[in-house]
Amino acid sequence: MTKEKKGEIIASYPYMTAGRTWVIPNVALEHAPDGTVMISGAEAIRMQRIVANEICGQASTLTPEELEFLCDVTSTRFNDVADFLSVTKGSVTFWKKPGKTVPLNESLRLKKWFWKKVFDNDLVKLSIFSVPTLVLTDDGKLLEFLREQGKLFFDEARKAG
Amino acid sequence: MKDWLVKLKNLSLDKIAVAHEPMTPRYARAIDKRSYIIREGVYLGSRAIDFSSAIEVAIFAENPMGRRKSGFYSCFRIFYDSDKIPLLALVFCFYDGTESSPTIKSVEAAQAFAREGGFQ
Repeated sequence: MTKEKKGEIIASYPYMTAGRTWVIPNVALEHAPDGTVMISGAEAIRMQRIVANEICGQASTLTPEELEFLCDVTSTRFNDVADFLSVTKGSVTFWKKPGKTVPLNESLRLKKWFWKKVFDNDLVKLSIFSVPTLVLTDDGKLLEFLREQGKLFFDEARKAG
Repeated sequence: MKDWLVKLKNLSLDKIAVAHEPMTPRYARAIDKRSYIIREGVYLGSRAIDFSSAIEVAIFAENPMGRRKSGFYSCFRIFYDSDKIPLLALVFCFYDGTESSPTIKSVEAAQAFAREGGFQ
C-alpha cells in the first residue's frame, strides 16, 4: 500500500479506464480511519464523471470498453441498454466483443442517454435548458454542447471547493 | 453474517472508497466496478481484523459476460459506528484474472478462495 501525506493532491492523476489513460486534474488522496491511503468514494465519482463527460461529448462510435465503463458508472445493466435501443441483449453482447463497436446511430443515442444519467442530479445547475435550437438538430453539436456544460459544471464545483 | 452485504447496499457510493495503489487498468476496474459488485455480488464471508469498529468481508460477482470469463472477487473493509452501521467501506482487494490476479469464474470457486483467505 502506498503511503502518502494526509490530504495530498495529485495534480495530474492517470486513470486507466475505458480503454485509455485519462489525466484527471487535482485528485485528492485521503486517509481511512485505520490510516490506509485511499481515494474517497466521492472523488472516485468525480473522476468517473469527468471521463464519462469526455466520452459522451464526442460524436463517435462507442468502443466495448467505453460501453462497459458507462454501464458501470451509471449502474446500467446490458438488458437496460438493449431495452433502451429496442434491440436484443445478444446485440449488446456482440458489441461488447473485442474489436467491435456500437453502430454510430446507437452510439449517439446511448451517449445522450448516459450523459443524462451521469448528470441527472445536477441538471438544474447546468444551462442545458438554454440549449441553442441549432444544436438540437445536430447530434455532434449537441454532444459537444453537453460536454462543455459538463466541463463548466466541474469548474464551478472546483471553485466551490 | 450476510447482512453485511445488505448494509453495504445501503451505503451510498460516495462512501465506498478504494485503497490507493499505483494506477493500472485492474486498479481502475476496482474503482469502476464498486457499484456492480455490491449490486450483483454474493457474500462470501467475513473476518475480524486488528482494528476496532471494522470488519472485512469478501464478495464475488460473476462477470456480466458469463461464466466463461473471470468474475470479480473483491474484499471490503467496513468501518462502522457503535450500532454497527457502516460509515465507510474501503475496497482493498480486487481480482479479475488480469495482471496475474487469480481467475475466479464461479461463486463456488470464490467461496473456496475466500475460505483460504480466512473469510468465514
